Amino acid sequence: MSTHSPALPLNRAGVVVRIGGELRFLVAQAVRRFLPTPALSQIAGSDLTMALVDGQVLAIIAVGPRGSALTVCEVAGELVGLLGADPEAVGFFEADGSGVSYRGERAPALDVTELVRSSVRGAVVEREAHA
Amino acid sequence: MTTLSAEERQRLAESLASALKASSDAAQASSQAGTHASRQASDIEALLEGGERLALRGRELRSSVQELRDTLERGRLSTLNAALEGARLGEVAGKALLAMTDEVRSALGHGADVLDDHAARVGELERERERLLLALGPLADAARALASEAARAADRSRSQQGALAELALELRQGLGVDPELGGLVARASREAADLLDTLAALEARGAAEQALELRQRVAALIDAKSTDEP
Repeated sequence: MSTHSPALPLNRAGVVVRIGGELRFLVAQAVRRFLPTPALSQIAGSDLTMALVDGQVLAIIAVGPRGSALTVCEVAGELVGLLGADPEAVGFFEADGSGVSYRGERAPALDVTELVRSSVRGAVVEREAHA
Repeated sequence: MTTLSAEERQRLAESLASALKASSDAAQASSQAGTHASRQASDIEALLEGGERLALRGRELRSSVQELRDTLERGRLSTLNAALEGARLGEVAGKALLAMTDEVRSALGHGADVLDDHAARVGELERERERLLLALGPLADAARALASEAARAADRSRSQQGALAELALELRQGLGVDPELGGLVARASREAADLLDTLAALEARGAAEQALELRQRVAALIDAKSTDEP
């Protein structure tokens, strides 16, 4: 007889990424696709970075050292690129807390919405400091 | 004017003849050495040019390795995108797609490992080529210097030959010393001594009759030659 609640699935669908040597987990619904790292453009007077991908301008958030791929996520209907989150594996992984377990290693969940919020907050604080 | 005895004249002629021959040999040897050294320098130059061509090929190989690496990375990302679609389909529906993408990604990973191995070997070849070129550079310089030195030696030998020829002419005109004649006389003396040794050897081996017959034939030839001369 299973001790798990039906509301808590045993496996989670998503992506295990490596950020600066650490594993993190992104749920499948949050990730749109993976792309080779595009040419990046810095927005003058800010720390914001943009990239042109398939004719669409994406906001880029650097979460780690620049790797070989750009992980494109969707947050509230908008696309955002995570730079430095190199995909290690995609599929179903054993749930472990808010994240998953991958090859015996814990990969905590990466909240992209919170990441975008804190990035925007950081940009605002910086703009105010400059003003 | 100094007068020389026949014996002194002959000695001088013989010395002059041998000096002329030595000078001629030296000029020929210097010329040959120069030719060999020039050829060696050209061969080494050709090897250096070959090394430069290899460097170009190495750069092309590195570029194509990078192109292949980029292609494999794009392939890896495509399999990850396909796997993402599989993950969205659910554990049951996406299972086959996930398994297939895993297999393809594993094959691509193996290809990338092999490519890294090739790139490392290309790097080793490049370093080996650089070491060879570094070693060949001084060799080419040495061969060029040797060719130049041999050419100078050949020039000097030719000058010596000219000076000796002039000396021979002066001696012939002033003292009647003829190196060619001296050389012939010296050769005739050597051959006469050899003939006498051979005849003595024949007699020592009990062939006295044959030796006597040969002596008579030689004497007859000398007599006939003396009679012919006025």
